[in-house]
Amino acid sequence: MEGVDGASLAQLPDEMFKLVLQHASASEGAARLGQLTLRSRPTIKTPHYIVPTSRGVIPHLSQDNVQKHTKIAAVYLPLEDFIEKPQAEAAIYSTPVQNGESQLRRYTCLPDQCLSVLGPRRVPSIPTPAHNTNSSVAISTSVGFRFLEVEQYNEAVNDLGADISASLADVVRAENASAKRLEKSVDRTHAWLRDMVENKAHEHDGQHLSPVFASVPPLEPQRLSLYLSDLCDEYRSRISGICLYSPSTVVALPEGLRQLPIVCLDDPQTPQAVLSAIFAGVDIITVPFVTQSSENGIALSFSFPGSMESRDETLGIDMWSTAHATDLSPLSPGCECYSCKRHHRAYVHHLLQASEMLAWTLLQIHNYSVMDSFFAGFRRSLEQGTFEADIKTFNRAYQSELPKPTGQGPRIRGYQMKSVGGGEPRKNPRVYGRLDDQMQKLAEAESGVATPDGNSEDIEKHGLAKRLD
Amino acid sequence: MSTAAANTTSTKPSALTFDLHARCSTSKARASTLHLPHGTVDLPMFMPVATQASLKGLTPEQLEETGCTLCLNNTYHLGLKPGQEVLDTIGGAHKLQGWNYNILTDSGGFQMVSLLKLAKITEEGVRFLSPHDGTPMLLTPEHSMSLQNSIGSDIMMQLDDVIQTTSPDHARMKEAMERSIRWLDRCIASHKYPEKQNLFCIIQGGLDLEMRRQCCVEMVKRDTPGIAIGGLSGGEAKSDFCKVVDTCTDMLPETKPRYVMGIGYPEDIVVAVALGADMFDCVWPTRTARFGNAITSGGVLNLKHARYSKDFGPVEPDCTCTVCRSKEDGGLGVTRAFIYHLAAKETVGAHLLTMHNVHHLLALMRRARQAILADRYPDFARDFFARYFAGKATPQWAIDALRGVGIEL
Repeated sequence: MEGVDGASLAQLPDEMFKLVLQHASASEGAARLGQLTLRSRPTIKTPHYIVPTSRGVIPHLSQDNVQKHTKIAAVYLPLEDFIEKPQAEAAIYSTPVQNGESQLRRYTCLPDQCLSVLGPRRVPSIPTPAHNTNSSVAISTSVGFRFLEVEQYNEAVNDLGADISASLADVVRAENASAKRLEKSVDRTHAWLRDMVENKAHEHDGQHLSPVFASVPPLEPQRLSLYLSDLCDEYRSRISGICLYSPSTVVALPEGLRQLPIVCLDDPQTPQAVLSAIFAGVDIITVPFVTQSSENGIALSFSFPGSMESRDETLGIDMWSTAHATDLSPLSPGCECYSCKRHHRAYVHHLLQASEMLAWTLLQIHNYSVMDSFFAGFRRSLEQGTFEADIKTFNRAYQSELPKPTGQGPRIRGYQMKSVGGGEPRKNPRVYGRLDDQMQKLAEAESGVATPDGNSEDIEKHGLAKRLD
Repeated sequence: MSTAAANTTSTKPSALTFDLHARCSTSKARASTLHLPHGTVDLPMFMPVATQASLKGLTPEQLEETGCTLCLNNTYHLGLKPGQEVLDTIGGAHKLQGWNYNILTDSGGFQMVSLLKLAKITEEGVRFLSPHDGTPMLLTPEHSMSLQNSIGSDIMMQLDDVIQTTSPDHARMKEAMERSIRWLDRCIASHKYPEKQNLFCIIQGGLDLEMRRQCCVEMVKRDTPGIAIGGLSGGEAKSDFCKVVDTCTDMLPETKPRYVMGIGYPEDIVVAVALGADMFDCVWPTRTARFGNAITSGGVLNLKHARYSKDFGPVEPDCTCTVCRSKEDGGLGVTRAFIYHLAAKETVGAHLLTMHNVHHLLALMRRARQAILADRYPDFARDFFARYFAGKATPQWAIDALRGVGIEL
């Protein structure tokens, strides 16, 4: 195989997606370079990452910080974060908009720099106790588990005006699912896509609609073949991209669908897993471990491909470590992000120790900036045709896992985790310890201060007071 | 009382200059500018509280954008984390938090007394039990100064003997007031950098006006660069609070900044400004933001209430903060509905409301200052109360206090 000219490849509707370069050599796997341009959004060079949001925001990053201090170009918004009311009456549907503006964007104050991708469920999603039905998907909202009717979802897609909307997928995560269940998974996904594109064609003639990315459940290629050939033959003109839930599904895609942009809503655990997804041909991928690392107090510290001489370097630095207590150096040497330019390790360490929310904000800014260079590194490498060799360099240069968290992250909210019922350990530490009654009083008082702690030795060492005997 | 000490200690040189620009021709309100080591501060001013060297999720840059040039850090908290040694190595709190404007620190004593069980005050200092292991500890004025010197705050506060203003024990109150004076002398004596950091004294004396007057006389003699009125906001009646502020400001020199500690409700500030105070601080605006409360000129709104779930207006109409300004106007265009959606669920909700609330108070102070400069503070105060308590009765204490300085609401 050889490099293919972008112009001849990319005769897609609206020129939305242009493949600049498809596997320069066989050794590059199916990795490719592309450009995704939607409506008035800035063009996204692929491979790229997409940030999963929580309740419409990128965790710990207020929108002004997103604009000023990140280059985040795409976000994923799950509908289940917005529909805890009786679904049809959810506030988001009442958002006033003008001139065909997107309700989703307006409601969430999403910065213009970010492409919006709408899907039904959070990434990573919380397993639901109930199963999907033929006409609905089980979801988890902040007020509990609910069902999202297919019809409701299709209406939401039409109303909210996301830049891209994924079709519903019947994703079965259970490894021991029966053959029958797996068959159902692909049949439902197939039927739901049909509903979605036909319903769109019907009700909104001529209107500018949210481009649909066809969801493909993470199943073996032979189970998907009927669905995929239908996508290729019948729905090709009405879908604008493919939405996967695992990079291993890429191999199932027939050539006709490979010209489309491929988004993968997965939860890779390491940068190496991200690399292999890109190698497999994914264009845009969710990387939840970035936010997770920030919440764990870890400053990511890798770049692509990394140095030839390095061996077994750490992928991230644990800012909880007291080694950073007086370290005035940036989170990563030479990093140009706001956190590294204006602040230092000692501050981030202090903020973590003091349970200040700003720790996570500064780490998010840094960690997403690391992501920017990581993906820019892929693209450069693909351009140069050195991707496979560079992957080897990376794998040699870095450890295979992110450092284990040692400190306490933000309080876990109900919609972020599933209760398995009975005898679970506490997810959050108790806030009020031995000072319960005092703290209670304090919380009620109009003027007060945060929880004090520290044992006598600390206090004395810190010069705050001396011990009496 | 150690009058001898008053003659021997003086904090000169000081590290500030104070320019008084205008006095309200009706009330005692003043507009001035305070020149501090890290930039100028227009007074009257509200100072947000960044307890542990961070203002609840806001970056120092975001804090700058609200117009803030002077914020608080708490000595007690910084003393525990990161601790004096770290502060000395790093080179102080400005460097720690990347904040290039001014910092004011309290003495650390208030936290002991208000937070810790069995804190006991002796002539030496504050005895308390370590919150973790219960070991008896002692905080002295010298400790407090040493820590504040390590923090490098632009304004530092003396360690004072704070007791509840509502305490009925007159003898204890007098003891506390007199001890605060003696402790000021110890603070002055152990302050290492009077040319770089300004030490403020704190007037004590509970609600006893005569005791407050005595304290003012003694404290003023010590000639600190600025003067604080302490021990208030401890649950006393608002009318008593006003009397204390009014009494003290009458006794204080015109040429020094006056700081009323722990005051943060907009109505309290508007009244205290009329009574001649210049500086205020309180955790309330930032704390209440985390509970989903937005401060607006029409009162405080609890945006966690379902009635706001479909309210697509800005948090506060006509507010010029980044959060409230529309997207078209270069802001974020955040709506009440979206805050409702985020409140208590995502930290970003708290960040946004914190930005708004801090901006709101700073904007209120700017308007108050402009009104004083234009000599129309009485109109400003009337307008403020009419809006803030729209549909509700203006509290009697505010009416009385303002009447006392010639402003009829």
